[in-house]
Amino acid sequence: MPTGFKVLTDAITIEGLGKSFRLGTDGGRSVLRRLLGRDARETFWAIRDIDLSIGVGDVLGIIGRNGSGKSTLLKVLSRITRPTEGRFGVRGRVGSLLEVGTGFHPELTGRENIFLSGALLGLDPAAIRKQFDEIVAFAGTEPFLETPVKRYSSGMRVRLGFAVAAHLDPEILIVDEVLAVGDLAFQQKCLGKMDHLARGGRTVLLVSHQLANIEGLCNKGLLLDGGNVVHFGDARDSVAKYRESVSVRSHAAIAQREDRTGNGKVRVHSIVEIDADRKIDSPCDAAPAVCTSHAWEVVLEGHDDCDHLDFALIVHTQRGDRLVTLFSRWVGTTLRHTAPQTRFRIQVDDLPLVPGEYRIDTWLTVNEQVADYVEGALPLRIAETDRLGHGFTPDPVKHGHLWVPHRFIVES
Amino acid sequence: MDRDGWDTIQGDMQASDTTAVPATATTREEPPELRYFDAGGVGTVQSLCDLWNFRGLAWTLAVRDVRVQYRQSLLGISWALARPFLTMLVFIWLFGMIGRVPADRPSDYGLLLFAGLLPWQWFTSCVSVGSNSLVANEHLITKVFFPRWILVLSPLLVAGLDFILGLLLLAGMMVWKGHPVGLECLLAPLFVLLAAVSAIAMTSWLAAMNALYRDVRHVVPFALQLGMLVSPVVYQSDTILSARVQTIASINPMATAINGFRYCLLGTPAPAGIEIIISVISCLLLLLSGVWFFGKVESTIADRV
Repeated sequence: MPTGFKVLTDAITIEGLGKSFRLGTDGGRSVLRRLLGRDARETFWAIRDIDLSIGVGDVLGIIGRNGSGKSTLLKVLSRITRPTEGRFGVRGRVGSLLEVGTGFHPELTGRENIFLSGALLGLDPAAIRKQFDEIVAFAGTEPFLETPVKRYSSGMRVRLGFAVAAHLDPEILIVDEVLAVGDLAFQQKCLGKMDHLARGGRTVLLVSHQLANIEGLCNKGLLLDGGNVVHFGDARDSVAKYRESVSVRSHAAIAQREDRTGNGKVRVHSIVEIDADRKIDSPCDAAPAVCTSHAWEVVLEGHDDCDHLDFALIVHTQRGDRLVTLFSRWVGTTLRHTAPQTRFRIQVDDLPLVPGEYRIDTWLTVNEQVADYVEGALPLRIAETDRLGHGFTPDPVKHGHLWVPHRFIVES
Repeated sequence: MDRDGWDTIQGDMQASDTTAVPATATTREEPPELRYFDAGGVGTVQSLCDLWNFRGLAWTLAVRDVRVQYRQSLLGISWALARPFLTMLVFIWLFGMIGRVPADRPSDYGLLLFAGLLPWQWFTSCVSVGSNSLVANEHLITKVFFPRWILVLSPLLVAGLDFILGLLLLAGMMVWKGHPVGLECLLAPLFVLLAAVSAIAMTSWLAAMNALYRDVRHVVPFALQLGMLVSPVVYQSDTILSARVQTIASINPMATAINGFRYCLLGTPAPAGIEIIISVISCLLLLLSGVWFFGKVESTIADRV
């Protein structure tokens, strides 16, 4: 962690920066309207009133929900798009890495693409030639140098792309969520590289959803919400604030949520996790220590009676990978709604997830038409219990999200 | 947000910057100047600086396009020669059928055609590829900063390779025909430059317009066909046009570029001084307005393509 750096001077100053977009499509009738001066499209501010000063040698982690303006801020700072108001100043060259393998052309070989991508990111051919062997070694794709990139696996493409970018040497490096790809070992390598850059006095701006990386790598944090600065300061404080805001949001009563889709004939009024009544004959009775039962009580509301309701809970990881769906139709239950409210329970006797934070979507159909779909309707926390009875807790990243009972049989 | 405290610390640091000995690796050299960017764009000087800093990129992108163009093709680069050559044969055959060749010396018509086709095809491939370049390179425009005008320059380089190869073929044909070459040929680069600048100017306009309204893509092929009739590509200007019409036609800089190119290499009558002046002026006007319009569109391009 780059602590002990003093702010000699600011690498980036941002003054009243804002960027707005017009909603709606271009072309056709909108052209006419603009010519007539009647452009009534709505304006949407992706970021607004941002005032910051980032010191030389700072590693700034930028966090926030999707749509909070993180990527727009990076795009403005890397001069891909111009701000609508305000201004920003940068000291020195800015290298930005908003996507891995910028400019790769599938028909060209690995070697040719290294030069192409390098040139796009601002490296001149001489600099690339000097570091060529290092880049190839970092990517570990040496045997495939003369193969067109279209025949690379996606992992190889990512490694090559990052290897080129890692050898950029700008005063300011801007990195968007690019570490989410690639395997763990490679991610570690990339983090190491960024840490190294920061130690060399480079300023790094980094967007990531992996909060642990932000805490580990950054000394400064910036939390954005709705295009505004919520917190700017110590990285750990920003992350803590963010965690807090996420949990507050997901605890917001589902009835108040506006961000839902469906025709709304019947809606989920509430869903709460309740204590499950353990069924005596459940299969995990044999090993109670590794069983986790979960149950939820759901209340639906709607003005009209409806037959043929189907309800699903979709459990997914924080990153959005779906893990399991609990679906009434699959288990042969037909739900009916009687106005104004219907109440039912869902129970799982053993949810085979390793300890960690998960999220649940609710999905409701009436006559096979989606009536109400709420993403992230409620959090699911699998507590760190000693499921296996010997003090070892599986880790979702290293060991996967599922835990299944299994045995090893050794013939003696 | 604790901005006041932050600014004070920073102000102190800046004040004592010259005397303080920093304990870290950041003592490299004087930090560069703070450069500001706002909604208004960066001004001409900064634009030219950016262009200079990225000068290698136009070349790199051109190399990419040349490589991709001829990869997985049997004839490869020979297509660059085949295209003008086959076009030449078609027109020789066509006018042979009609029985009236639009040139002073019908025996040299093949050379005349080829010498017209070379600059014209350079112009057309630059314009037709370049006018779509902002849209075709959308994935770059939205992901990385570079002066967008490079996307106009690079098609000119790509088509320039075809031009140079064609020039070699033309030289071969002239030797084979035993056509004499005078000292005028040293002036040829000037007319080639006129053609290149015209191509860039036209491409700047069309690329920017195409980024806004894709209708341009449908108009360009048609307009280029029309342009081929207006420019003396398949005919010799002074053979079929009156002097007055020729003067008016020189508003199209490609007319003078082709006439001049032919004069230098084949010894056809030189374009009149007034024609050259008109062409150069119209070319420069087109270039300046094109660059201005391109700059306008460039400012919002990443949000709109």
